[in-house]
Amino acid sequence: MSSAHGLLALIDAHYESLYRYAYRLSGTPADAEDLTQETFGKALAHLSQLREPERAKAWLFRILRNLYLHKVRDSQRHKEIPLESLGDLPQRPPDDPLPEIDPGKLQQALNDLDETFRTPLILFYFEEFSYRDIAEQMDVPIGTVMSRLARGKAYLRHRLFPSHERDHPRLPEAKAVSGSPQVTDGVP
Amino acid sequence: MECRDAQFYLRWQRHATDELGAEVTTALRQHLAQCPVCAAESQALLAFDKAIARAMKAVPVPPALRDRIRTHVATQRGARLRVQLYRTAVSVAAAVVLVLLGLSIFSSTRPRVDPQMLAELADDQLHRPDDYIQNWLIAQKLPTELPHQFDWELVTHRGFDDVQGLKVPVIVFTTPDGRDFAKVYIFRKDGRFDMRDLHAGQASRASADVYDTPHAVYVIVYTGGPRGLQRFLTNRPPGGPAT
Repeated sequence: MSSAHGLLALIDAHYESLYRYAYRLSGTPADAEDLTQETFGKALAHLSQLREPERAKAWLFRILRNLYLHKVRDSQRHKEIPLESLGDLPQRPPDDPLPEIDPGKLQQALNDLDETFRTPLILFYFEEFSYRDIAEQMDVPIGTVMSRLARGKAYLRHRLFPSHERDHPRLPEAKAVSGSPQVTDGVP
Repeated sequence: MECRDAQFYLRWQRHATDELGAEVTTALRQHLAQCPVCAAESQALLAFDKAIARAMKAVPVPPALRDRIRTHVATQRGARLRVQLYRTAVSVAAAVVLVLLGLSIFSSTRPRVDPQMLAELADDQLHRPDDYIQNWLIAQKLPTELPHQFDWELVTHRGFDDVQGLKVPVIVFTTPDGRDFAKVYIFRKDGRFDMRDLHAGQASRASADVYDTPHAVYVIVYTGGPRGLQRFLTNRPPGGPAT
């Protein structure tokens, strides 16, 4: 893909999901818009490098994340919540329905989370990226992605449903099963 | 599959995907079908995921974002094109300057037509014909002695003739009435020609004599019959022509 026409098609196809991703990463509409625009600007400059058009979305998401990391590295504005104290996803009774989650509170929770946990959570919940896709996006083993997701989910539950966690004990540690992906710590 | 294993895998199950692998997924489904506790836990986890996913995707996209991105990209593209155009223009200008410089150097080093010099050469030929020929022979690194004592006053030309595709030095003598001429071809012994076993030649109105000397072979072509050559000499030759 090398034409401006091709890039316009990419914009039409992916600008919304990129904006949402950027918003969840950065936490502000202004930063999200800047990141989305810069992503397409960067894509324009490197369009000839896109060999597989069907991988365009993953390519654009990767560009956006790199731009975001570059910005964050400069500003270091995110507080990071250490996840060492958090365990895996707590158990809750099935007849206890979850209240609707306020997207604003979700964003606050994400903002306080280290990027290495935030990115897999966002990509996971967009339900468009497999564990393998997320691992490729982040250049980490798939086991690391799964571990970070498990701990990230636990963190979200802790932040968004604190009463549930208080009321219900955590799951006991499960044993490792032969043949399953190796789950590494992944906590920075 | 036991409950502990099932709960381990439940943490990574996803809607409508089979990322745990067919074997694990099948075993998990079978376990969930027969274990109400784990089935309930599975439903709870999936409900949690759905609730988070809904909230995660609830990001309003600014209505004019698409147009702003297109404008931004168009602006960047314009800037890139301008840079490319500028680079191309600079390259072309540099190439033009180089070509002009080359032409200038070539123009300043090539010889200029000099009618005055040609007139003076003609003067030399008229007033000092012997020097005119001698100097030319020296310049061509040829022997200054010819096989005969020619009358230099009769020289009309010296230069090169094409002989069998190669340039060969030649001196041309012409009678005052312009009817007969003699051409002295000088073949260097440099290997360009095969000069073994040469013989004189004869045509209807012209003859060719061959003189083999240590440094060159002379072929003298002349008109005016068998004794036609005598008309171009100042005295008799020391040796007769080769036959």
